Amino acid sequence: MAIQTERTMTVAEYLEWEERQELRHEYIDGVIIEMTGGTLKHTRNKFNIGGMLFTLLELSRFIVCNSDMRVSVSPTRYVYPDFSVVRGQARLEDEKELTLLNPIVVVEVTSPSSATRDRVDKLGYYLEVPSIQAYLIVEQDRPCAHLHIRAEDRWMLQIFDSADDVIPLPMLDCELPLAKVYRGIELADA
Amino acid sequence: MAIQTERTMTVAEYLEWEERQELRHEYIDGDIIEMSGGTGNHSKIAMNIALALGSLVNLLSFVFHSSNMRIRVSENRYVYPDLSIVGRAEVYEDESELTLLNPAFVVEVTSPTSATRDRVDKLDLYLEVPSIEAYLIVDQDRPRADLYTRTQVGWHLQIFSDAEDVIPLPTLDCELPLAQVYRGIEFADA
Repeated sequence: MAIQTERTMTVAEYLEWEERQELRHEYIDGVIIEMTGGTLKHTRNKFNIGGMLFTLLELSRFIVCNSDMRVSVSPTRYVYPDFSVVRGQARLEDEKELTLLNPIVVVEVTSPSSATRDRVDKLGYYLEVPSIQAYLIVEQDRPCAHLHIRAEDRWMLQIFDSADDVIPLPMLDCELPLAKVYRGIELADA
Repeated sequence: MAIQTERTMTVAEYLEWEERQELRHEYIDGDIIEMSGGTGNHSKIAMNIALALGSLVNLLSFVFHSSNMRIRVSENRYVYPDLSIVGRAEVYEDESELTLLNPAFVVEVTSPTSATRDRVDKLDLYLEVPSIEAYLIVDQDRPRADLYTRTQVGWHLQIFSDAEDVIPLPTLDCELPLAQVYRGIEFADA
């Protein structure tokens, strides 16, 4: 969840200020966007996905981060994806280790109120990050996942919305059954 | 713009009822969705696209339809794209010529309120129409166009947001400058 405020800052001001805040804020070209807590469905979805990533990925090869980890998608844009995954060594912005530079996969759990931010703004940002190989958008309210995957120099979309669908993540050497992403969640009428 | 109502009907009931309505309604699996008028920008952008493509394509090879033309995307689903273009002989559902079956290219001008419908629901529907080779989603509130093009290995996504960007449309044998899409359009503060 995010609330756009009027405040603007330089990158340096933001990075220094953000460290002193209790809540997290994303930063896009000078504008601060407050991240507030998510709904129960959002949280449970994240838990299911996080659980699967932790279980399925070889943790000697991959690092799984949740939304505590900030990612820089450009020199003037900082976001907190619901999940980001690094292969091998993490590249961090500085010795404070607060900003990740080289995720290969990012995941956002989305809802109608965050649709524009996740499917327009963040889609634009993530597809431009050279390290990112896949961007997975998972709907919180119904079984539907969009996987944007880099294939050579092109971005391709795969859609998963059937109960027996499985989301392939070859760059992570794993696959996520859609049914498990939504385990335990009562879904709204599709 | 669309408003979901509680009414449900069979396809036959919908087709007969819709002919008697003043406003257009989309039909998805029994549910009726009223299409209300668009904003100034929505309407101007749709027209800009039609006019620009009209001057760029070979009008002997392509036929243009406005949002008055209904498309059947599957047995139980009927929608009204903002623009649809047919590349070969038009195939209609019946002799009334109220429903087109074989558009090659469809366009939706979208907004935050229609983001999920255009970028998730309609994306899914249009992908299922074998004749549709490309689907262009154009943002009404900022310079941004997402082009989904059918390939043998899935849907290829290209995002355009710079004033000098040109959208390649091999389906129509032309390319559409983003600047022409947004000619004369003023945006409220983003």
